[in-house]
Amino acid sequence: MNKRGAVGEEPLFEQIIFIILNVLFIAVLMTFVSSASDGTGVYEQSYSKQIALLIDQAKADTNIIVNMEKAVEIANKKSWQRDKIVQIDELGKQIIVRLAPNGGYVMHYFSGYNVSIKGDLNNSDVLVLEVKDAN
Amino acid sequence: MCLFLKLKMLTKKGERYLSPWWFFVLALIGAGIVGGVLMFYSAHIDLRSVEADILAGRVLDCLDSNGFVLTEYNTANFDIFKTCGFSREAFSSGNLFFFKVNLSDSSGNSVRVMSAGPMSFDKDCDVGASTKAKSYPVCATRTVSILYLDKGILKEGSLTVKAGSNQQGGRVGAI
Repeated sequence: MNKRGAVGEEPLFEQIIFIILNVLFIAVLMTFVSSASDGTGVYEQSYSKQIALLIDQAKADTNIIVNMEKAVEIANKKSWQRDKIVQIDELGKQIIVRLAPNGGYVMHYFSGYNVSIKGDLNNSDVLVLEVKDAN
Repeated sequence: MCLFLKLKMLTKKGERYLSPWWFFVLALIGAGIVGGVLMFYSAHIDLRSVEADILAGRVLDCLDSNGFVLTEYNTANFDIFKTCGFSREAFSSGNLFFFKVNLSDSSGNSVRVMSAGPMSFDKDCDVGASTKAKSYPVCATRTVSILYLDKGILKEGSLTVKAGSNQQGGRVGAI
């Protein structure tokens, strides 16, 4: 009787392991896909390129207004400080957009004008950049 | 069906579910999904042609003053960076941006040529335009008819601006 019972239990145990492994596999895959598909990297890239091109195109004494609604939404989701989303390195003439703590995207601009962030992303979804003549 | 029966026979008793084939199929599906997602979401946005066009436009905007070349352009101490509001550092380091301005007379002879950035871009642009070369710069060329002063005489000529960009952008690590 015992022998029969042992043989009968084997497939059931195997089935349980099989189901657990399948669920685990699907869970890991879903986590990966959902974390990759929020588009953080793509948004970082597109925002930094858009802002760099706007700076390059701007004439002196211009204010550039960029809608950062999606960027702010992602940053909030990733618990990232809103005031650190856009950083301008005046010396290196580069703009860095970070929507998450684990990295960002950098773009250079060729404009020699002084560029500074005028608005505060903590209070609004709009980024205001001030372009002034360096002379 | 035949293959399935063979596989079923090959798997030992008690390995109907956790067979090596199952793990293989799982790995294959996983790799396919991960690869597909990574390929889709790591899309690169190439804006070099737009950047080159903006640069050419800005140089032209700066040097063309209502159909006349800026009078300072033909002087020896003309500083294009200061006059046009370009960053000297952006053109001298990183091999990212380039422009070449050629003022020529009505018969096509160069009166004054001025350039900034890596000179290799001048030739690389032609290579990049004729072949599919990802790491070669992308350029834009603009030409306008223009009037200029040569030893006090007003002459007609053309101003050609060739601008190039090879900026791909890049990811930076955590702070």
